[in-house]
Amino acid sequence: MSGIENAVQDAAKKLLAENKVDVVIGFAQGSQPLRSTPAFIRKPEEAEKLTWNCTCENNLANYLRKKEQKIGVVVKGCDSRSILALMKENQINRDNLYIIGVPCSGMIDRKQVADLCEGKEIIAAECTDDALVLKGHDFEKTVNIVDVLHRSCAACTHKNPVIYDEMVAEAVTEQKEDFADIEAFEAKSTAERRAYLSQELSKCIRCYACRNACPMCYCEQCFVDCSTPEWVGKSASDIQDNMLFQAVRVFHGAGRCTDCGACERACPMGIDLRILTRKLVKDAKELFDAEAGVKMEDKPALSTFESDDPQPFLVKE
Amino acid sequence: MIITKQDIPNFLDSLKNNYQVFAPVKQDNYTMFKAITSGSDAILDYSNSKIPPKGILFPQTEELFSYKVDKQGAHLEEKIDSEQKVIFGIRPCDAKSIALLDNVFNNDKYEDPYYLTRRENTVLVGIGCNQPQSTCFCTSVEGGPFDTTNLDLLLVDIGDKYVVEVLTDKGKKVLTSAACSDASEADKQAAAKTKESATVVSKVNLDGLKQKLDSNFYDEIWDSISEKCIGCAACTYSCPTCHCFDIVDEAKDCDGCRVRNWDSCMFPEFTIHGSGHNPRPSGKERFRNRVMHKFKYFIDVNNATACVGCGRCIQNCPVNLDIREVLADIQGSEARSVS
Amino acid sequence: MLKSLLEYMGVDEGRVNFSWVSASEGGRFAELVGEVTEKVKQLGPNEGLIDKKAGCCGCQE
Repeated sequence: MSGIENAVQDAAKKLLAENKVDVVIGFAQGSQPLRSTPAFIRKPEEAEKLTWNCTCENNLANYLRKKEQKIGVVVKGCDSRSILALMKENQINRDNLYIIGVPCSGMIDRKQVADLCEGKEIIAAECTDDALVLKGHDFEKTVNIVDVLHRSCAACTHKNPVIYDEMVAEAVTEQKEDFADIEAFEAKSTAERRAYLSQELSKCIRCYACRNACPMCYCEQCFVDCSTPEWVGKSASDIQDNMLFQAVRVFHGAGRCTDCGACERACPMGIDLRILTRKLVKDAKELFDAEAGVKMEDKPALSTFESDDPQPFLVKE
Repeated sequence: MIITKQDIPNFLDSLKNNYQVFAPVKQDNYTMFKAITSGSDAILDYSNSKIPPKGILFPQTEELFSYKVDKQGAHLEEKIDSEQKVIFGIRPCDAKSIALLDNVFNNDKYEDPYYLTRRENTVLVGIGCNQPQSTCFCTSVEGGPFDTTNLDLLLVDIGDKYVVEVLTDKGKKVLTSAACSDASEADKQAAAKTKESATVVSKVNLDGLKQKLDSNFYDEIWDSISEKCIGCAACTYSCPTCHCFDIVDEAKDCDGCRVRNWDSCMFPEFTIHGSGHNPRPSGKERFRNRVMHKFKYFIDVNNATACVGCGRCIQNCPVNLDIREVLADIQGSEARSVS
Repeated sequence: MLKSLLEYMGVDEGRVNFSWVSASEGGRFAELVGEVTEKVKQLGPNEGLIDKKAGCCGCQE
């Protein structure tokens, strides 16, 4: 892991020293155990602040839209897919971007780690290549990283960046797409699905962290904020409106969502959001063989029309 | 007075006869304050709740009144919640935050009947913090792990029992239904020792901060410290002192209700004018406002800092934007004492 | 995909219906609307996405 960290720092230092970019966006050590934080590095000597470990969870593509500066960015597989998807939507000018690609073995899920520690406060944590050493006031624990990977990382099919200017390490092995989780949920009865989703969405506090953490959510005015007309009620206690909010948010990402998991990670209330976003990832794949942010030449799934597009939604006649 | 931990469920159950009782309960892997149906639902080994209990007095969504229009005219029905409530297990920082909210909802310009009625009818039973979290910095903002501001009772955990400090008549009344015994000299000493040993490691330097904020509105520092903020409301909605709201009418045909919802200065629509002009057009201005409101404007108006150091905004921020670092950056010092 | 998502989220199957009808196909349009109306009538009133009856702002009535 420290090999990658050094390589990232060297790459950033070089870019800044040679004035190829104005800023490098990467990760720095956060203020709490198990946290790293997005960092904006502007001087070559500050490049040593950059870090790389299993807590670099944020999707940095979120900071790249409509920027005038020349930016160097440290990306994982998922971030690179978001960048590619945003380039297709003319949100990112590739000429102003230098992509430092990092093959990613997955980021941890802080919520799962908290569960393993029974909610007790972790006061120190150390990341090694494949394990976490956690210390609390009255406990010490070693956890295998693979056991606490975020679900989006455990299911990831593009660990290696799909677009980059330089890659700082050897590629890692990719795995096959597996939608078993979504298939299992589809197999449940309507009542069961309703019950589960209304239980999950009852936790929503409408902080919109899911929306703001998503690199693909960039409408100038979001439908939830709009008051004339008011498309959806603003009350967090109305579970039905919370569901409507999610339905529209998720559907807006249909064929565009790269399943990076940023929405779910950002949710302070721990709502299972990927059960919704992944459904559309699966549908886009099955219906149109479309995968967002993988190839520049692929046409956007819902912005194109072919005469032989599947039409399972039509009324049977 | 002394109450054993074993007796707490019975105590809460007996309170339920006369009060709606809120207590910390488990939801997933975190804690929330909720109205309990049984005294045994309350958990006692928690650090603090995910979302502050301010929502019990100032709900995230509150119906102010409902209306109906028919041939006879318009009919209004005001909804004032006057139920007697107890918040059991509130932490001293959150109790202190209610003192700050009092300034907002009860001042010489405006008295808010919805908040004040609830406030009047709510008893605050606090439990001190034997082990403050690494994100807690209450002692830097005039609080402390055993601060009694606003509390009616304070419970000090000395192992298998609590030493109860009775602070008000309201608290005394609540305690009548508890199986209490007198505290022995040893218990009192144990409580004093507990209070001494609880340490808040994390510190924030507020010296001269207000003076800096008085003059740095146009400073370049706001560009850099707000850079990573993604503009969600995880900080404001988990803040015990944030109190901004928006009022909307939710109508169906001729019936409807007027609803007050929490609002957040982090949202683009928060300040948008009818003309379409937005005085805080980007994340930078909105972030600056959040810091200014807590550490300058609130002091200008109410002579108090609108932060109680609970650390929730630090824990809940999706990008780990830490208010302690922000304040340290504003102070212009690299010195941080983040544990 | 919308129909698929809504039914996945708990909207009754058959409540969301799509079809292509040209402006010149008046008869076919009437027939389709008739069928869909019949189908939805059979499903009964829409209970929404949650089972609880909620008031206008989520207040329990």
